[in-house]
Amino acid sequence: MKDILAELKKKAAEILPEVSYFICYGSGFDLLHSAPLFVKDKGDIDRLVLNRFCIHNLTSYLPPQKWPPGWLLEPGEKIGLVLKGCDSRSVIHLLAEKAILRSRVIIIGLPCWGMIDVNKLRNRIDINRINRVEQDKESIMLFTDANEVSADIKDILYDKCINCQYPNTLISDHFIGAKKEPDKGVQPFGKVLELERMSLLERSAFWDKEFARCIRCKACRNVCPVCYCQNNCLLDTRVPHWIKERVDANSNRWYHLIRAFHLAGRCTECGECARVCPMRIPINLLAMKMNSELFELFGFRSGIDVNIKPPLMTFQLEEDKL
Amino acid sequence: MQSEPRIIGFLCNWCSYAGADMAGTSRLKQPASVRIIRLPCTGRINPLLPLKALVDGADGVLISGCHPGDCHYREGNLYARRRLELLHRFLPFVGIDPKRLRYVWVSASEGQRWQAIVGEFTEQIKKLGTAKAQ
Ligand code: SF4
Ligand code: SF4
Ligand code: SF4
Repeated sequence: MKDILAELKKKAAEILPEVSYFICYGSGFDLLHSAPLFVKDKGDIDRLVLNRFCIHNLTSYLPPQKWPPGWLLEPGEKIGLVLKGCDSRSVIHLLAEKAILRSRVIIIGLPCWGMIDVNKLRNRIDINRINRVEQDKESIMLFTDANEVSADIKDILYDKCINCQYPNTLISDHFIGAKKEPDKGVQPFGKVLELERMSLLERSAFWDKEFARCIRCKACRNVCPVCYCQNNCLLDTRVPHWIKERVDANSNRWYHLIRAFHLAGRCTECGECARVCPMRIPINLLAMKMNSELFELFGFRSGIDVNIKPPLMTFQLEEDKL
Repeated sequence: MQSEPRIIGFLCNWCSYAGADMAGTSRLKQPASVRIIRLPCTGRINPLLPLKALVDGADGVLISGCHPGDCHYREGNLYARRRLELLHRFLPFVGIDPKRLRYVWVSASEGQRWQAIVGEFTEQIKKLGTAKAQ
């Protein structure tokens, strides 16, 4: 990815005069993390990074533009954005929902080789003491003062990256680098199918345990690119009072069921909700299950085509599969 | 299960409520298991309503509206059909038996059909036993 960083910086400098700010990646708090970076001044362009730790879906930082003009964006104001393939699905979905305006975003697209899941390194080395990282396309070397390990990249990628169906940004104004071939034979709902092999009772017990661990920090909602209701989020609304503030397994279950239904046919499977969960609850699976059913019923995949109406926003008098 | 199961019925005002009413006025015998909630249209049914009923311990949920194509508001039940089918398919994923939910179409003149559906569904729920409130 290093080779396209220079190109990205060049492009960013080019579009900067057109946009209020440019959302991209900068270095994080240590060598194993990157962080979202908001660039306003030309001088900051050198702070851009592009590496195996740029996991964040930057779509989540786009202000929802259906708010009244001037509330978050001035009329005509534009925002620049760098997007990976998977993240571009969120933008496409927001466009399909008419939540954002195409004319207000300038997108730089790129090919992606997959991001490293730092959690998969935890049992190999003390990840808090890394002081040097070396990597190439296939492997990574990590060094602490006392220790060093090397790992095959493919063993430590995020699950969603291991079989990536959309490695190239699907919608962009500028595409940098050469397109990457998508992985073959991808089973997009693999994790859902795994869970479905359990019996009803086992699955019930599985979720009971997961929901009991949730601390209702709402990070999963806050990070979600399609959870843009902000002050109107049902989970924060007292009138009507859909959900208790109390944090226990039952209200947590209800919290997640509400979200699952609000995400049906809208979730773009970026996995951010599960990634940010401090309790490591695989909470993305609920919305993924919705998506797998909508795929089976209507052949619908969210965030692929701006012109396809999401299935729950429409109907047919004669349904093929209902 | 000893007593009658607790079934929540979500019925649209125009077809199914009238159909159930007809079953009543024609004195068709039916179990007293269904507590009916009358709504303007099945299109009003946020899937979270039947889901909350199930999560909070209803033994079953029976939803009924006008036949597709006959909606008083033309298209409410057509949206509902997609949502309810999705709900039905989602339930087992979180460990709720999908047999506890049924959605049907009953017109204002189908009192007998309503009687049959309530009877059948009540039997089905009795077999499943009492739901645990979650
Ligand atoms: S991020 Fe995790 S702990 Fe926080 S509310 Fe979501 S599921 Fe619960
Ligand atoms: S629910 Fe999770 S996986 Fe789906 S779009 Fe939101 S953050 Fe991404
Ligand atoms: S949980 Fe529902 S109401 Fe809240 S932000 Fe997400 S979609 Fe909106």
